[in-house]
Amino acid sequence: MNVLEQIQQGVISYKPPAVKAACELALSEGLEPQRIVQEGLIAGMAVVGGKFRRNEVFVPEVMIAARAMQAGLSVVKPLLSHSEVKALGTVVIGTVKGDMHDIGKNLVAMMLEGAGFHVVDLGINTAPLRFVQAVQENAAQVVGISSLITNTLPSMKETIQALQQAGLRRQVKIIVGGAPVSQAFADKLGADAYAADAAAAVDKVKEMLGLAV
Amino acid sequence: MGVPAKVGFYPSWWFKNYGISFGRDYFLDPDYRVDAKMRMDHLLYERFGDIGLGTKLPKPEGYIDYGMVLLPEIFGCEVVFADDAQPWAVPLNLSEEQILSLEAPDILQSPVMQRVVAQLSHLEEKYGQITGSLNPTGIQNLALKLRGDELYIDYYTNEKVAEKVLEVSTQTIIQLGHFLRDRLGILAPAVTPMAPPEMFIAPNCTLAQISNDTFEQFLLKYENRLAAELHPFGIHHCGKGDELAPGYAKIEHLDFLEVGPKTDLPRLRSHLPRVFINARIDAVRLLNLDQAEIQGDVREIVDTGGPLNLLSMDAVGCEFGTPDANIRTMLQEAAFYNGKEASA
Repeated sequence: MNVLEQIQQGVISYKPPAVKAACELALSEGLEPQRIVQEGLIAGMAVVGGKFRRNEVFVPEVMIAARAMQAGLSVVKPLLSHSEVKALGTVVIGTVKGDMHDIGKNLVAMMLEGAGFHVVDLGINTAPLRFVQAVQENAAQVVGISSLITNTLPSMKETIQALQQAGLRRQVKIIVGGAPVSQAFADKLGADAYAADAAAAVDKVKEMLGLAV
Repeated sequence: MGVPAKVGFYPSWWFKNYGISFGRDYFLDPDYRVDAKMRMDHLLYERFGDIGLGTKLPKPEGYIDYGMVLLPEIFGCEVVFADDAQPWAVPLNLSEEQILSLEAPDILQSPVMQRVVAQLSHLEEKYGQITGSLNPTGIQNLALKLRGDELYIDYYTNEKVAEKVLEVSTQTIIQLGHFLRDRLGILAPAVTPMAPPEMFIAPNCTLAQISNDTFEQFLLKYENRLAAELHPFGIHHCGKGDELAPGYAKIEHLDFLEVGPKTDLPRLRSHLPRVFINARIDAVRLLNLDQAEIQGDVREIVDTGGPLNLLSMDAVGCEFGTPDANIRTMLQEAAFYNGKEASA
């Protein structure tokens, strides 16, 4: 098993210390930092994402795999040149106003980071204007809006309206998700995409930005 | 014999339709709550009396309800109230050190619990018998309020912390369960209207987020302790509930299991052939679909969840905007299957 495979395996088997050690080893062997990120960390996270989609792993496994990836990134990131750290895109993500649930949103954020996106996580109970500000401040290409309870579905609509009123709607793609959300509801809202789970969210964001899935 | 069916409405339905608030007063002022309950019973009768819902002339009853926040608040979680939503307990996100030094509180010494006990005394004095109950919180649900999502990392990296927070949660829930049984004799209605009132129901909503392996490794022994202490025993899931069926089959005294939309009922039934199952109709589908599709949902539960003597269904959390016709359709369709089986 070469060192990139060791990194992948460390992410897939949920071992943050092993991933960190393998990344240090890879650097000492002269591998380029960008290659370590792409072919080691992100490749490992992609495997975990696939398993999550197939119900082979669950929330704790995605969280610990993301933790393992972060452990590796902490070693590699300082050595990436500015041009190399260019993310696939910037995604502003948050749970809508009135909704305190965050684990689904957190999973999506982790998976997007794992896929190479810059994620601006606004947390829970996020007012529509906060989404607008974050898009403007970060020149985001994508907005991810999460809602776990039916009661807060109208907040999704208000958030999209706020982006429209701020003149940002053409600038950003909007993806929605959460337990009570469906493709039909997303269509009704005028969202660009709906994702049923965190792994699907990564594919949909890539699709919307014209990136290879 | 047949397929019992009920519906329930989310606070937003009440608040947006009738202005009945589920804010702080609803949970902390027993007289406000008793009055609100009477109004709701009567409004239900006016709107759905033709299908058996509500009461024409409701009498005041000593109704207790504290949402899902009692035990989290006893541990110190901040509670956020809203007019149109259930109260929410903000997780404490305790550190490893705080968890390792945490002990189960004597809940009756907690000022939060003492205020609830004072409510019960007031209700008993003024209205006689208590109705309703107090939600006991599930083991992992409570542990997540204490440790936060870090609990999921602990399952892999810090078993000692995971075990400690689950142990403390279990001990605390058992205390509340015994209190409810001794003081009220009514437990289930705070979680589900479909289980026998004397049954202890563990709300396991967050267990949909873990694998059966994790369940069996960490939680099964605690669930068995709850079941041994507090049986008759049941479990509630809001969402998909079949993933843990192999683990649930190892719980002694499991009498009742409530599962939410998208549950693979045949799979569940294959592991739990003698457990009573309540299958929940998707409140979002009730909100958005037409009547033919609702009939299809009911039919699917009947076709896949049987035997019918061990099956019921309900739709709780119906949202503002849910068409009345869909609610009628759901109940009438379930009643049709009652009749169909009775005549078979």
